[in-house]
Amino acid sequence: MAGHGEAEIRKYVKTCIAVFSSLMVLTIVTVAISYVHLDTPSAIAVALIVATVKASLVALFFMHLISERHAIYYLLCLTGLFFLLLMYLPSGWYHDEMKIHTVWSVLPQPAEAGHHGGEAAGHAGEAVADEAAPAAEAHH
Amino acid sequence: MEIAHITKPHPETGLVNSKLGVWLFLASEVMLFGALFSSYIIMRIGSTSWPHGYTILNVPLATVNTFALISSSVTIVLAWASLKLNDFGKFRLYMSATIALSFVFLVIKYFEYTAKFAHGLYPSTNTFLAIYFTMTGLHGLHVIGGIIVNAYLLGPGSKLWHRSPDQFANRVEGAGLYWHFVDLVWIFLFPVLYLL
Repeated sequence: MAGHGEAEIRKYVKTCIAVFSSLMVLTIVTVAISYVHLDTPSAIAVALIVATVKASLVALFFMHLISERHAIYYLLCLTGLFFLLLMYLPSGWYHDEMKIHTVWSVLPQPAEAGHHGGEAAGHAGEAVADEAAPAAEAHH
Repeated sequence: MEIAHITKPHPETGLVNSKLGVWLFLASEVMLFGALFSSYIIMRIGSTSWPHGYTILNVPLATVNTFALISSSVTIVLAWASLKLNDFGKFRLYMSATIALSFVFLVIKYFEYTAKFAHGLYPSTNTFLAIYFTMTGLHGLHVIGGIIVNAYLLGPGSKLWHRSPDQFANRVEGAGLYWHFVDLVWIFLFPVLYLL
C-alpha cells in the first residue's frame, strides 16, 4: 500500500470490513448454488466465477494489489501467464481424444494387483491411482 | 551489518526488499498449487466418472472453515493496521484472533480427515480422494506454516517493534500477504473439491 497516513489506514480498515462482508455473502451464495444442482458445465462455470470474484477481492484489497508498485504487477503478470499455461496443458489432452485414450488405457493396464481393468472402473476412476504406479514401473 | 532496503524502499522497485521477496515466494506458490489444479483437471476429464464432492465430503464443516479462514484474513489485516496506528495492544489482540481462527480451521480439518479414515476412505481409495487429500493436505501444511510465523510475530518476534517499528510492521505485512494467499487457495479448493 502506498500511503500510510492515519486517515488512510482508518479508511482502509473500513474498506476491508466491507470486503469481509462481501466475501461472507459470496461464500453463502456459492454453497446455496450447489444445492440447486445445476448441470455440471453450468455448475463449474458459476462456481469458478464466484470463486474468481472472491479471490480478486482478497488480492485487490487484503493484499493491496489495487494500489501496488509496478514491479509487483510485472511479476504477477508473468506468474499469471505461466499459470494459464499450466491450466491449458490438460485442455490439450481434452481435445485430442487419441492421446487421452492412450494415456488412460495404458495406465490402468497391469491388473496384477487384482484390480479390475481401467475401462470397467465404475466409480470415480476407482483404482486408477493404485495402478498408475505399477504401470509407470513397467515402462522403465 | 544493516540489511539494505528493509525499511526504506529500493529506488529501482519502489518496494522494500522483504516485500518483493514475499511476492516472489508467492509466485512460486502459485505454480505449486497450479500444478495440482492442473493435475486435478487431467484426472477429472480422464476419468470415466467423477463423484460430486458433496456426496463424499462434509459441506457444512467446510463452509464453517471457509468463514474461519476469511475471518482470519481480516483479523491479520487489522493486526497490521493496528501497528500502523501505533496500537501494539490491538495488534496482539488481532494476531491472537488470527492464530485462534487458524486452529479452528485445523481442528475442523482433523475431524474431517478422521471421519474419512473411519469410513475406510483413504488417498489410495480412488482418484478423487487421492487429489482431495493431496490438495487439502498441502494446504493444511501451509496453514501450519502460517501459524508458526504468526505465533513468532506475536511472541518472541514482537520485540522488534520496540527497536524498529517500521521493520516489524513490514514483517507483519509480509506474513499477512502469505496468509491471504493461503485463504485465496482455499477459496478455490472449497468449490472445486466440495461443491462440484
